[in-house]
Amino acid sequence: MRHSLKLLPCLIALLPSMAIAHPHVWVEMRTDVKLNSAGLIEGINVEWSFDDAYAQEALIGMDTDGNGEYSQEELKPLTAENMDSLKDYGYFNVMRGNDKILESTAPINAGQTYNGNKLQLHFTVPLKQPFDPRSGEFKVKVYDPEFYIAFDYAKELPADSEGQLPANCKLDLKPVPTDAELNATLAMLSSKDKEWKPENGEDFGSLFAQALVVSCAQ
Amino acid sequence: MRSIIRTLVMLIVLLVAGQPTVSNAQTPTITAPKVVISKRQLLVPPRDATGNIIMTSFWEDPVLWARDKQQSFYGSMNASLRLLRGTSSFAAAWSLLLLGFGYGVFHAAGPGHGKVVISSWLLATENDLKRGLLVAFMSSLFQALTAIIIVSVLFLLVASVGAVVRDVTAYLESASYAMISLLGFYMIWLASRGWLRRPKPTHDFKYEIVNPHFDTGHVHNENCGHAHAPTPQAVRGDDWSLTKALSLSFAVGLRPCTGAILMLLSAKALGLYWAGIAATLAMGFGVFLTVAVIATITVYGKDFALLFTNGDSKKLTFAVSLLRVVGGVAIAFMGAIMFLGSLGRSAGML
Repeated sequence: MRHSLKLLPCLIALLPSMAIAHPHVWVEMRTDVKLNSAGLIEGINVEWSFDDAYAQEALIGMDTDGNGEYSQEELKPLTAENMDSLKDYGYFNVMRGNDKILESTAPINAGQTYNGNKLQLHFTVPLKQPFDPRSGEFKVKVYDPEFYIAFDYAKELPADSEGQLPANCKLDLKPVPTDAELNATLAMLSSKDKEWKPENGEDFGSLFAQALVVSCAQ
Repeated sequence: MRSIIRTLVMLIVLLVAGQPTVSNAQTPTITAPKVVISKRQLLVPPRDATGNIIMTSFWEDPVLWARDKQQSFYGSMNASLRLLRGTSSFAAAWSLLLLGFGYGVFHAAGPGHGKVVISSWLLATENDLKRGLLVAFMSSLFQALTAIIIVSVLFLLVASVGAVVRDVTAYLESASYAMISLLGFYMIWLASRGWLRRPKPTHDFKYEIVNPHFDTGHVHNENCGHAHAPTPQAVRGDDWSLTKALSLSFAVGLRPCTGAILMLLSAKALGLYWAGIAATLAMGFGVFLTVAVIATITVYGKDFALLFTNGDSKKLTFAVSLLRVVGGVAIAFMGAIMFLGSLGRSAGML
């Protein structure tokens, strides 16, 4: 993700309406693909750990019982407001099946925890219709196209599946783009004119986001 | 006098009461002690139905207000750039100028090092508002010119400016921070030199034969002038030179404003480079106004603080020397930290 910084000026020049992009919040994230017993994908669980500076700010006044700890109960009002404002940002995730956007419903099981070191937010985004990975590639990207928040996958256990993947199917987190790949993207973008937009209704930010893919051998 | 105070209090009460209290109005049932969550605590700024960021009111949080304002000015600036395309409308160019100016005013009110450096420097060395304003003006002008020169030169030299301009900006940023830090060390050196000399009454006395019959009091001449403690004028007046002010302005202004560069790039892409340049200069003027206000507050604040020395020249000398060292340390420290930070960033380490 940090490599995408190098391309940002170019991106911004192409997208004059975009806000001045530099991250205000850093997130280390995990994404789990949720499957039901029939092997259909029901949605994703996300878990975001925030940088210390944001956590410091966010926790102000949240220790309502004054015991020096921040319980999930105490953090509930903050979680509610966060989830409410995240709605306007599509919860920063896009799920696709066969390159088509899969519709999702309002997130459930949202909660925030603080273990004395890291502030975390977790929630589940259910799909409107479960998606069968055997019928085509499932792909989810968690990112902020405006780069207000820098989303990076955790180094350890970045992604997993909850529930059993169908036989011959595998979960694969695509690596962070290399410098060579970024230069190729840059060259590609320079060759396009101002009206060009990425295919399949994607935005520019998604060109630089890591994809989590479930694919099945036919 | 009392009636004035009463009116003021009433006004304040009215202002506070007049603010919409959203969180309380909607919850008639009283539950647990209400937790008030400020926008700063949220992960993302909330948006309204049209997808625009909801502005924070000034009374709620002045810093967030300036940030939101800057963001919305930037958005409108780009919108009017797009409007300008194709039409050579004079009115649209004017609105771009005004928006650039507004962006500058709010940009300078947000977080940034320039005004901190300038006000620390004023606090440490100067007492003359005119000089502070001159430095503020020169640094804002330098900053606007840096952006215009970089982008213009790059447009002449290379075809795809977007990627290159970032590298150049990164180098200039590091250079600017390094120079700021050096200036800080120079100030510490100047101040400590004065500090080390001051305590020693080194002038040698020549004995005079005083005729007791003629009461002449004590006589000062070029051989025997026992120095009275330095006057405030002598203490504050010796640090100013146009060269120093220029080097400070240069160090601060060398780091171009990101907003200015982006605007120039977009303006060029739309074939309206001249409008971009004019708006960049307007932006510089907006930055100057804000920094000038901050400089004024600094200078008068310092005068006010020095009042407490009651004109005692020893205390005054000490206070001024202290200010110089503290100011120098602050500038050197800030410059060093930002310099190291910028190096890390250019190397791609976060």
